[in-house]
Amino acid sequence: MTACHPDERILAVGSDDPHIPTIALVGRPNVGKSTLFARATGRYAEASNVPGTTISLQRRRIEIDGGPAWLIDLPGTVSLDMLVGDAVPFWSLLLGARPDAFLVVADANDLGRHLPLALACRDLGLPIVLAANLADEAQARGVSVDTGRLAQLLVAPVHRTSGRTGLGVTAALEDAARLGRRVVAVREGTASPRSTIPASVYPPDVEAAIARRAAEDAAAHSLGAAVADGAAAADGATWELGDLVGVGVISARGAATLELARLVDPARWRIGERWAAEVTTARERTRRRLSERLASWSIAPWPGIPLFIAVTLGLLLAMMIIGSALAAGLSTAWAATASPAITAVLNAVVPDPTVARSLRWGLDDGILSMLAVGIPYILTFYVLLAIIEDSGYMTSVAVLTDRVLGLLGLSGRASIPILAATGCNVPAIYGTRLLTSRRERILAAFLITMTPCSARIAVVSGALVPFAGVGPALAAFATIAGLTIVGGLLANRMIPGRQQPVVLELAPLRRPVIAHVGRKAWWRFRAFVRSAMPLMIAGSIVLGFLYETGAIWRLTAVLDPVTVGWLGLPSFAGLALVFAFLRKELALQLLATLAIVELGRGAASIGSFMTPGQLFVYAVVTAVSFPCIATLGALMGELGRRTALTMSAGTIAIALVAGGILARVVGAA
Amino acid sequence: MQNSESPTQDLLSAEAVFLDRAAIGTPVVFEAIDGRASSPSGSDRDVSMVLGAEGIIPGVELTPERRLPFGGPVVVRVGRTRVALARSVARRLLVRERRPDPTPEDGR
Repeated sequence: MTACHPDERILAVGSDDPHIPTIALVGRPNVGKSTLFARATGRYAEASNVPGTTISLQRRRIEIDGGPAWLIDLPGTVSLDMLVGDAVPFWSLLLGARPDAFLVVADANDLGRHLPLALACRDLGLPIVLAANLADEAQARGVSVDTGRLAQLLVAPVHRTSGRTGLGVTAALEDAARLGRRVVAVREGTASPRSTIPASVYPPDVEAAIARRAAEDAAAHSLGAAVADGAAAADGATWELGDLVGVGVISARGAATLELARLVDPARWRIGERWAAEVTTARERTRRRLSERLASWSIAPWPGIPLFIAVTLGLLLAMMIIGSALAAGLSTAWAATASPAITAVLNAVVPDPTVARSLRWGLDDGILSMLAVGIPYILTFYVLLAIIEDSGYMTSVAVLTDRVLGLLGLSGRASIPILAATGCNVPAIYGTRLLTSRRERILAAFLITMTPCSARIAVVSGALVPFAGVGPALAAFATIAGLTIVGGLLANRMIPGRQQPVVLELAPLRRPVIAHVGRKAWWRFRAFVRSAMPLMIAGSIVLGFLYETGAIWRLTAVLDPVTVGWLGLPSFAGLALVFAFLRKELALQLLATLAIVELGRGAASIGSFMTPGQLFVYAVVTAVSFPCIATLGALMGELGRRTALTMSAGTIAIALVAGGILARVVGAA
Repeated sequence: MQNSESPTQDLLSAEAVFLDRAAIGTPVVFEAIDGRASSPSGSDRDVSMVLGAEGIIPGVELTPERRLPFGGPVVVRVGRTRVALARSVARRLLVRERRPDPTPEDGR
């Protein structure tokens, strides 16, 4: 699999093997799409990832209807329109995947709500198959669907399906594979295209407008304002509808319906309601599903708010407890086995002892830090986050926190990433993908970098509690919280634009599926390790080299005006601050180590060479200034180099300004 | 979808309010954003697309279920689902109570 240039990716023909049809699963959130996908791919032969995509995509090869096919799970989306936030990552992956047929997953209990998306997909010009999913629930509630009649109306195969029990899954996939193969055959010239005059379902004036626009020069079309917003350009790709029509991703009519969405979408909803009423029979009074009642309770002041506080504290506690237990265990195991082995190998292979010791910083300490920080805290966090997402509780959280976060220019969706930041900033930064506009992602990322992670919390506690007391430690946390809020408010003022107000379907609360949670968490963790690990190892090697060669001391000449003059700290404390950037959790050890070198063995306890006031300043500046190299890497990957560097400069500026003021307040400078 | 009352009778039979003031539990019909359905401003258009993706289009019936405290979102039932709308959005949605039997005495 070659990594393609983003623009070529769009115009390249199909997947690795263009002869195999690609079926894309499409649906609104909460229809059980992923369970259906898992059920369908239970017979998969191999798994692979679509090249060039930055968001993880599930793609599996299946054997169906006598031949192979690719099945892709696209992200849930409420609309194909680019102005609606969910649609951007959806299109990103759709264009990378180049499907030949859609399997549209709908909720059999509420077809009227899901048919508009099916119609929108059909309008794109590719064949669709409708899966009326959650059919087992529907049956239990006395809701029945006339799939034959719906198939007539939709001019597409319709099947009752259940991802949970497996009902109808094979039949739906067989139809999709069959239709997809026909598309492949037409593309390869082994079959002639059928005259596909799409059934005109829309009112005459709408149909006329679509026909008129479809006939116009396709090059005049563009994929909407979302591209200018920067959201779509995250992978560097810009999409012109004309190109998509040209290479057959969507039909001219499809391009026209996308452009005329404002006109066509309301028509789709009216048709959806009409057809749903026609094909659905239900008992007179069907009880609300338990899952929906739970969702309602979760946003009522009682028990919603206590539940939210409990879940939040539970998340933090679980991360701390599981995290520190795993961290201790892994550190011990590493120290006993891998560390001596790596040391021995380096000493044997590398001639220069200084270089060997420098490399040890990266290959021994660096990897250990990834194990002792990464796996315990970050993997644990990803698992907990996946549980919250899978259960549907995320939308409840977004609704409950929307007001408070609105003051900082964010919507409720940002609450989970910000919460995650207290464990580790890196997965929190990746979590900003949940947000719908670039502005919100930037603001949330800024807040995240200022929120102290577990490493920084440990630094603040470790610096202050033993040497100054619990009171000053709490005061430091309060100061940090205040600076974060002030920073957030300032950033909100300075970045133009406003947040997109929340308009969110309340997801029913369901029991999370363990297999799904595990897979999601593992995918994300792998992505994190791939991006963060090289940086941490490289950063550690650099730090090690500077330390082992003594070059680190030369920086004091440059840093002293700030360190000593402005912040009132000992000279070597400035070095510790700067290099804590590479390994933030080492902020205290670095301080002690450098102190010993400078002042002699007697300086082993940091309280012996720094006053409580100085420790306070050191702790706050460490916590507020830019977190660590792994975070910088995550920011660059998510938001681009310029934004990442601007943000770093901002947090450093706030840290230094605050540090200097604090130094004068506590009498350190 | 709509019943066959004439627009004039509608005007006489039920007063229009904005969704954030609508009575909890009483079904209402969504009319328009800011009352100007035919000529929306730029941001009105964005909001109408986002609402449209949830099935909230002119003529659809909504039932307000909850207003979260301190100016938090308004939760409405649309068909069989619940949608949370930011207060700033609910404040701009013009809705009208659906009265089954308009009588002359109801006129204002």
